[in-house]
Amino acid sequence: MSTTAPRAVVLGPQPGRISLGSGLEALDLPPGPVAAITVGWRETEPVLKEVEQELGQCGREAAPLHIGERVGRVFERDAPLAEAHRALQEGLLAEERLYGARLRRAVETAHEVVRLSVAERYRDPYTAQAWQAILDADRFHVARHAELWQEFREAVGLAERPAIREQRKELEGLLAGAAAVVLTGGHVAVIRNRLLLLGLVDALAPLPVLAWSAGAMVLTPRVVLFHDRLPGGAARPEILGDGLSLLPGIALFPDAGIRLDLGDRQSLAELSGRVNPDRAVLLDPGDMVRWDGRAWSAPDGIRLLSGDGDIETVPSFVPGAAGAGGSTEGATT
Amino acid sequence: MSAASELAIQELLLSGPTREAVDAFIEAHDFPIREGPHTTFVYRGEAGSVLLGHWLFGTAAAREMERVPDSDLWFLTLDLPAESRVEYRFQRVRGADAEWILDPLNERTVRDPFGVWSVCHGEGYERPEWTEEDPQVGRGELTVTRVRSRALGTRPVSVYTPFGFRNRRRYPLLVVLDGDDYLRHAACRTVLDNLIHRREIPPLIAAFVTPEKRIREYADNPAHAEFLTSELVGHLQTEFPIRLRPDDRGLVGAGLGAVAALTAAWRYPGFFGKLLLSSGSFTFTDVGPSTRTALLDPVVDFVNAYRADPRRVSSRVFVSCGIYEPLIYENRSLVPLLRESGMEVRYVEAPDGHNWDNWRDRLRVGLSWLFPGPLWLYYR
Repeated sequence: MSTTAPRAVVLGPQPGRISLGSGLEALDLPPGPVAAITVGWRETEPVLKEVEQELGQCGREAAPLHIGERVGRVFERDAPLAEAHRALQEGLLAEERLYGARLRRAVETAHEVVRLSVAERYRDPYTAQAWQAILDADRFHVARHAELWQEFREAVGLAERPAIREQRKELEGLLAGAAAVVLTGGHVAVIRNRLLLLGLVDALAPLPVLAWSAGAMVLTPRVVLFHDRLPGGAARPEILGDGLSLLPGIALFPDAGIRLDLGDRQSLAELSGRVNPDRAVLLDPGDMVRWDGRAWSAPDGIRLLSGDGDIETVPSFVPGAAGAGGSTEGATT
Repeated sequence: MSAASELAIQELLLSGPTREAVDAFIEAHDFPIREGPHTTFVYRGEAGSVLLGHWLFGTAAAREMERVPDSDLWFLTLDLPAESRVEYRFQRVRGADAEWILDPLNERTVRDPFGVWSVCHGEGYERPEWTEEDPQVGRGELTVTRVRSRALGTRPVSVYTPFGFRNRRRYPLLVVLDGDDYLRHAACRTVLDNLIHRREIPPLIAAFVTPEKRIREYADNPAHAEFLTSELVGHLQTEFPIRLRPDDRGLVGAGLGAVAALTAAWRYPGFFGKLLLSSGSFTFTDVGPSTRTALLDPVVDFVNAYRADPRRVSSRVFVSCGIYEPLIYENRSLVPLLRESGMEVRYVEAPDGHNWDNWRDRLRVGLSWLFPGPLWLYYR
């Protein structure tokens, strides 16, 4: 396991009172305030207050970025941009529906192929085809999602709009003076949307990160939406889109114990395959995983989904080091 | 699970029950007695005979109870499927007098527009916690607005706005027929508070509309359909920040209210993008005569017409019915027609009857399917 101070710490979900002490300690930060990104849910003020209190107890000053409010101000000042952004959301929603329809058929077909009582040598070519159809649906959607964003950026000249430039300049100043950045859980699409709109990837990249759930998911290469226990029954996992890729080699599944049916190996294997070459990391309250710039590690082990849908616990792994899925070090199941 | 011979009532019978033994039996049990799938209903009191009256379609509506020899104790054991809810009363016959009474040994009752009933919960049934008030959950507000209708006069409508409501946002709209009953008997305000709090449905505005002449208004009445689609929604849009897309508009009804919902959607196809139809009285006669009252003739005509020409009237339809209801046949018959018309349909059956608790208990799965909340996108 690496002994280098981590560049990022990902915490498990924070269902009750937010607890940042152990994560901050692990990051071993230089002096300075900690930037806080709490956008993601409408009632963000209580969360921000908790983050400020918790940082205060750890001897840190919070520098809240108020990203939600800033985006509100941008839209108030720049009505054409607000309108173009609204149109983008409509386009993204339409894309989601189309992707959902395609994915539903692909998954149903794959499951039906598996269920059919035929010899494996006849089935296998169809299994591969059916599986490829799922991956194709995911990839096409991610590409289309990115294209819609790019079309929007180019059409409005996003980076050059004064309202955006003003906010970005202020935010870059706050981030440049911060010792680290905290991203809380919340609404993953809203967090991602605001960060993309303000174009904060470059400003966030040099900073140590403490994040959990939605806040951490948006920093991974790919954001996966999942919930096997919705009131109306399990939902098919869907890819929301690319993440900011500041936390490499992982796809995060917070609240895995609640949101995933961990007894359904076939579905878990599918999940693992759909995020490949990244590794599916399961997180529950109390968990903590660290990124040191080379490897992911955790004092109590990281729970990963294997390609067979098993849950394996490893002390650390290096993304992409040994073929698809990276190399694990000392895996136990 | 105990065998029938091991039931508490059988043990009492085998013991040669004395008055003291019966006293002890009453003292020792909660009633009705649930023993695995067996449920024993018990009445104690002098009578010539006692009957159990219940809403279990497919079985006799009233069944005679057996007297424990030389005692004033009466009993009847039924096998109920798991998670069943059964509403019942006892009919006590004394000479020429027959009187329907609640079960004196069972405090659990339910009130509906037709009166109060004792309630028996079969093995595994618990009232869902999301139907109960939770002090941790922010409560939405109910205000009354008055809506003018050319044909129906001025109607008071109770409007629910969710906790944290803001005029600058726009909300989906749910129109709930038999609104007062949904609020009073199906805890609909509490259900909305809880489901919104859990992010299982989005914050929404709900309009609770109550009829004055229910059968006349709900039995495929064009004036009522116009009221819902034009006058009511038009009025609400001027007073509340409501989204305008049909997919953000839902219509809810139970029993004859479900008929009113489907007929309004039929007359104004596409206006309501979501329908929630509970135990609809979808009577038809195209395969033979009906025994229903002539007051429901317009319903029969409508359902016959729909069966002959099923049309897409909405995008998503949630249909539910209790398996103990006489309407189960009608609802099962309707579902394939709705699907055939190209609508997305979800159909749920429950071991329950034609009652408000059944309709209340189906609201979570129905509403969260019709209006999925952000839970899917929220990672805490």
